[in-house]
Amino acid sequence: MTIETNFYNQIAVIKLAGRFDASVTDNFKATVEQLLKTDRYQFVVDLRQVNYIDSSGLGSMVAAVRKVREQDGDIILAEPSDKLRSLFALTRMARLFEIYDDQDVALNACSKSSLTS
Amino acid sequence: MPPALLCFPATLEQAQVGAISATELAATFYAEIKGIRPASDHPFMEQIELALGEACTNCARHRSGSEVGEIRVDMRLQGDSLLINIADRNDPFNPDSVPLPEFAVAENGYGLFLIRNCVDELSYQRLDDWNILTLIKQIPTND
Repeated sequence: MTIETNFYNQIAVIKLAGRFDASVTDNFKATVEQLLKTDRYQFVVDLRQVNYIDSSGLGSMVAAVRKVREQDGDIILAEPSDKLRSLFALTRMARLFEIYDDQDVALNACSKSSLTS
Repeated sequence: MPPALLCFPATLEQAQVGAISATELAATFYAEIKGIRPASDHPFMEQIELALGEACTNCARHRSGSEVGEIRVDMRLQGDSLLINIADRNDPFNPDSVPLPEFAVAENGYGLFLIRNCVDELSYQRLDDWNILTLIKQIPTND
């Protein structure tokens, strides 16, 4: 999996591509932790190019959002495939995350969230 | 088509590579029954890929001791179903005693739940120091 980070004002967009599996979860967690250290608290995770996620990937997103919310931030998910969406539903992740089909809408939601936090 | 066997080291990285290879092998068995290979986004393939990925990851994650052991995946046709054994030499475990994960709260523990959701049958046996997780997945007849 590749991880690329871009910034839109105070929002960090973490773009993931490839397989989000057990062998790469440490990279994802490290990316989020590093961004928190640089005072970034609002995240959009772009899942458009993630073609596979396993329980370790899901678990690492739970771990990450917990850390981010401890600092009054949030992680919003953008553009997961139908396959990922059904896994989010099965594991009830859909209750934990706001999920948007459009990244611009996700960015807007994240901006509003940062204004109210 | 005769039974097939894949062996690979029980590291997290090799477990993923092994699971991907085993998924390709499953497609070959599917083609044996259906006469055509399934697309990678066919539900059968997505479910087999996830079940194999989770099972192999568990083998690597629950390694006993510091030595890197081996994961063995063998598969064969059983009627219209695919039978897959995933074996390691870790400590014994009982999949029936593994509780459901605390959904959307727990950071781990989803693996076995997902495997059960992907296959038709799951069973476990301990044989000659090997844990053998057996998965049975019916090859769909009406698509």
